[in-house]
Amino acid sequence: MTSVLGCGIGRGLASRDLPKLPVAAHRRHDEVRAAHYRYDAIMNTLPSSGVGEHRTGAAMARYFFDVRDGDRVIADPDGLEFADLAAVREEAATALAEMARDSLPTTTRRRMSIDVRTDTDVPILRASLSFDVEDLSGGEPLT
Amino acid sequence: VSATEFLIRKLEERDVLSAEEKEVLASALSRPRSVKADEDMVREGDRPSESILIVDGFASRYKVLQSGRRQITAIHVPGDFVDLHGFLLKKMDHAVGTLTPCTIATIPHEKLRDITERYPHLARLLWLSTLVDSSIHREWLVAMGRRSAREHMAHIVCELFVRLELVGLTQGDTFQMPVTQAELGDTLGISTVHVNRVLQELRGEGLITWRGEKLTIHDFERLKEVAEFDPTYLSLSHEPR
Repeated sequence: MTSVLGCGIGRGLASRDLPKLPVAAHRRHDEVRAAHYRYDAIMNTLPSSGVGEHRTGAAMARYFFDVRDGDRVIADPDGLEFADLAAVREEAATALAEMARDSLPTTTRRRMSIDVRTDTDVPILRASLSFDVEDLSGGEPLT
Repeated sequence: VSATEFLIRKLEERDVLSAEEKEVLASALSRPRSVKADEDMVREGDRPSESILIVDGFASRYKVLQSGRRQITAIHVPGDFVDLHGFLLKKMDHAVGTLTPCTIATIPHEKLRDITERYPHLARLLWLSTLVDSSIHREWLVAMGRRSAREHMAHIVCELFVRLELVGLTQGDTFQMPVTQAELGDTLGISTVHVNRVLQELRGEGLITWRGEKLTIHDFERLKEVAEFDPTYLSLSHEPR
């Protein structure tokens, strides 16, 4: 039995170039407190604790993460705020990896993706993953 | 609300408290004061000289990695001491911060020492509260390691409901859930996007709804099944301790 795992982070449908930043460079902070505030700033519109971008000093933009998992589409009505595209890319990739960890072990074939858009309908980034487990033993097919 | 109301409710669910013991607690605690949301009350490396009781609001214990990633290791609700262990551990290995605006009261470590020497039963009850904290850590560890995000989320919701119900802060099947999805992500150790997806899944299954700051559980039995939630670890029985 082999497992074939493909994972790609594409540019989506728009022609906007992704900046190639070193991994986690945007997350480096000398101070614990600064790091804490960065997290406060990545906020959802759901229950807010009243803190936000004013603490980071960076201009934040809102991004919507629409999830496709097999036939299911889960649109994101709320969005999240991020300072730059590198952070958006990392969030999408992390979420995709987490979805994979939760649901792939019990499947043999799956395609999942996350489309990120700003306030328009046009995605600016797509993280996608296709998964196959092939039975090479010649026995009963896997389900 | 008096400073000790929720604390005493919590203790009285587990054992009998004498009038004298209640009075000792009340007089040992400072006058309540307000702390804004997202303030650190104790920082990693501090050597606190007093312990903090949450009178109102939600607080967390957490650690931040060098990369900036944060893990919330405990959520505290009214009636909880957030750093009772600081009395004996001396140097803090993690930070304690508010999640929402909080009212807190503090108890000097000198007075805690006095209580442990003069009121052994009260000392045991305070010991119990740090033991329940560790039981919760254990349960969270199991969830982080072995539960799916959906099961973990269901578990946290069940736990918060039971802990808030214990101090009388639930209204029917609803309770105040004033944390953000990002904070929930830091609690479960997952991205905010995945938090959102898992919440939508639980909502789609008719188990919960979370609107504004109110979280409602529509089918507690099924939610408990999803979470494999067994409240034994919260040590809720009323018996001599």
